[in-house]
Amino acid sequence: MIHTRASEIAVMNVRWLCSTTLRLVKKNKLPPRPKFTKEMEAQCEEKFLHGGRGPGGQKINKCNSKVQLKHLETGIVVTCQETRSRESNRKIAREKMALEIARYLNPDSSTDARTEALQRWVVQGKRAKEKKSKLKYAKHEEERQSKQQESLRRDAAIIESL
Amino acid sequence: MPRISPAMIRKVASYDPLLGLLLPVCRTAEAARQELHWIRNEGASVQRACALRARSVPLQYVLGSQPFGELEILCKRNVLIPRWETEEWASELAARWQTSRVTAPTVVDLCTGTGCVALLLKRALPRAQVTAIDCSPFAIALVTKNLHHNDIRDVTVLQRDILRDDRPAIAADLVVCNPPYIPRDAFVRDVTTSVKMYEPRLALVADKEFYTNLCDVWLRHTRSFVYEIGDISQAHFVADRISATTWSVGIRRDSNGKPRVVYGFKTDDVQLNKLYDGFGYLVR
Repeated sequence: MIHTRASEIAVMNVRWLCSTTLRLVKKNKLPPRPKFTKEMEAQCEEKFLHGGRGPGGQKINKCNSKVQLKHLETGIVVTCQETRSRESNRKIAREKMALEIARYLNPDSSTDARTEALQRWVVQGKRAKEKKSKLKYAKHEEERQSKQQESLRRDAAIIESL
Repeated sequence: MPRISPAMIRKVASYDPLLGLLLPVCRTAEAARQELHWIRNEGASVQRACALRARSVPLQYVLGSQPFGELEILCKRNVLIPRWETEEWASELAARWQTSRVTAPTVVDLCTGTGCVALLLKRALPRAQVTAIDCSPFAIALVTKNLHHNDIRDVTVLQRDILRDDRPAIAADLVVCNPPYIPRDAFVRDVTTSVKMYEPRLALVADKEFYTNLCDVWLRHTRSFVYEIGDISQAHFVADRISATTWSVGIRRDSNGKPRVVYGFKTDDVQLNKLYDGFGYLVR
């Protein structure tokens, strides 16, 4: 028992060494999004933009609810009108702001860890797809050749029988 | 309103034919693009929705709902669509009552329409006794649907015409109301086509009937009130009619800077003084 287990481990190690040195990115295990903290909330000024002049209230039926967040210290401004709901727009704006602040605090890297991981995940998916299609065509090619040989052999058999 | 040139429509439609349908009603390419994005996200039949929008049917009637705070309010013809201004003051009001010491207030929502304000308050204050009143049978049916849709129970729904009904008013800690407040001449002048064509006139056109009704009937039965207004003159009307010795009256502006709410509370009530502190500015 012990022997087999040890050999199994040995095999696994070998396989690990043989595979790509770059760890694969998993979509469900991405680095976390930058968090919007309570301190940030205090540093931010929130505004709701509804297109200024003209009649309001019952006279007009505007569906847009644009939320604008301004980080007073750095002057970063983000807006959001992704959804029709003001509440979810406020949430999304806060996520965006946290991302922008993380980028501001870490200007060397062009993007944050999560975006980078996501980009790698996309590339990885593309590579996997390429590999899959290559394998598929190789298999098709093989099948075709074996069929050809089969028919050749059959022809040869017929000729021989004649 | 300036005309949108056919060349402009053609140009926008070259990106997406549906945008061409939306442009005349949305007025700008940016707004049209935004609206198409929302329609697509909603998962309804996109082409049908855009065709209806091209005929100025309000987006909320097309998609069937409107977000209101954390609620999703169903919208149907013959009932007024909740506005963002109402959402704004109702959310603020709910948050203020939530932090106050009064945990189980009695709330009456007049002219409730879709029931949005009543439902929002009930969601924020689960122990409150909320009564929603409207005179329209369409509204009453929709309130019941909305209660179910948002999984809220224990809201009393009454069909009553508060201007003509002589049954006694209900004693309450808070009376909220978004009454019709557009005077007849302003209705012709200011109201946008979509609202004029598709939203119920019953919920839009009135002069000062409901503010008179507030002063004459509901004030005797409540400790505080919050009424939406369309014009500052309506707030002054209420302030002038109310006894200055027992009531404090204030006006609250919406985030567009327009006077949107007239509110009041008993001056000698310490709790309410604290609760409404900073909600708007006092005029009396």
